[in-house]
Amino acid sequence: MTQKKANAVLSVEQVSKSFYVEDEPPILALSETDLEVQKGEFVAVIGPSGCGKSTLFNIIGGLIPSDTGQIVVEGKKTNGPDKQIGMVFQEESTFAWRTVEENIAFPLELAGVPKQDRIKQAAHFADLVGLSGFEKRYPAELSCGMRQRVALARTLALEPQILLMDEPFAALDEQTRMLLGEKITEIREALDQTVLLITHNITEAVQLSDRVAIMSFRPGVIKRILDIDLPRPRGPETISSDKFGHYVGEIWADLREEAARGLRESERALADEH
Amino acid sequence: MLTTPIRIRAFSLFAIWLIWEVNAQIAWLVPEVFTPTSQIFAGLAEISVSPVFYEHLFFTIFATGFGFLIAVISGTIIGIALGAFRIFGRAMNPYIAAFASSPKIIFLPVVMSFAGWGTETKVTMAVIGAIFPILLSAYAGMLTINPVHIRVARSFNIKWYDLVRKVYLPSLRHPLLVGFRLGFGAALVSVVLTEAKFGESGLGFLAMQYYGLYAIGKMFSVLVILFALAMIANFLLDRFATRVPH
Repeated sequence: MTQKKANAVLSVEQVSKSFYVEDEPPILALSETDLEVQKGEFVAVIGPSGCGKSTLFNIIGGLIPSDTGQIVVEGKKTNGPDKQIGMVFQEESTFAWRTVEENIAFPLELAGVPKQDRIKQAAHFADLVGLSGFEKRYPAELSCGMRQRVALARTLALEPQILLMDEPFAALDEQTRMLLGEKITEIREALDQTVLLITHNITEAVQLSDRVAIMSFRPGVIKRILDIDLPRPRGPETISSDKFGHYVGEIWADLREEAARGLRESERALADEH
Repeated sequence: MLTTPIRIRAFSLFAIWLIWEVNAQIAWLVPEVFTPTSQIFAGLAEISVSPVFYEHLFFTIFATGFGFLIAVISGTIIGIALGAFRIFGRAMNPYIAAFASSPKIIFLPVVMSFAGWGTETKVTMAVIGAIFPILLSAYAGMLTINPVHIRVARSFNIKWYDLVRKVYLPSLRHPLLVGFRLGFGAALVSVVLTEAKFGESGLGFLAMQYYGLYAIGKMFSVLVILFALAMIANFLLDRFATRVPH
């Protein structure tokens, strides 16, 4: 177990989760996972596909219950989705029938914020993610990267302390991904937020994080936590530095055997089906 | 603006009128039924000044509209419920499919036995006719709702009624419009059939009465009015649809 620090804003404590499929042995997705995130920190959780990253994301976000253990936000055990945690999803998630402004105002609407204030807030967050001037557009009129920013602004609208993101850039091309990563870093500094990013992209993890938690393949546990000691902002010079490359290499060395094991198991599962 | 579809539409209407009129003039195919169009226009002119006609028209519109409205509300609610509770939906699916594809007129004796001969029976028949296309499209739409939208909504701790109002209903806007269209047609069919078979009022009754009196021109003019009614309803639903975003 990691040592407890007093100012952890989010802690994952001994969280386990199994999935049951009929006529098959249960799959242990997460096994007594522990993770602590300090206030203002940017932590990435990285792991091979099928390691239980998304399960961890859903449990922290309160969308699915864990079998054992608990999620603690600012010293309080959560029960379902917590107001202090804002989730950003991997899939394109904007509402096609709402304009950018109405999308961003969605959570405010649920919270009963009056219309005038909602619109003002929405405009503010649209501006923050660089979508000023697009408030009246529908998602269908925007690019993928812009839609993902709408989704981000919608999550930010409630001003959660913790931003919990599950591969938010997975559907984007490499360059858009890098730029959006920089945007998130800026926003996080402006709003003084804590970020937990779930990803399988090593470069992205090193580019953005203070610490990278490496997960093992099934059952998922945090195998190792690596401090990323690089200056911010992390522009092209940082990314091309030896130190950056060294971090990427180190994470890959750890991840490689897990990813290989994951690949072997999924291929075996496919072979068994025939 | 004379766009190509409008030209094609106008031309085909003219072509049908021409074929009809030529057939009537040379008295070729069942001339006693396919009467000259002048008689149909004369019939239209005659009934359009008769107050009795407007009473019948009102009865048909009222029964269809009221039945359709009930079907819209209840069909949408049932369809959403079936989709929201998947196991329930799967369990009920065969029954719904059986009911949906059976001719609704078989329910008429049952409905009449407790709703009588009047408007109640017509309204009930309209509901029975319209509800299936509506609930089936709502149900089918529910199965294609983007799951991430539900997860987003849940991450904001959404209440169930807000989930229905702000996620389910807007997600269903396209399938529901299709269902409403089909449902309105079915409601009108059910009402007119009921009127024609057992009614004492309404356009279906009127058409059968003219047929019985051998007033073929007037009978056709009632059919023309029914056709116009269906077109107007479709037009209104179309207008409504254009106000729905994407």
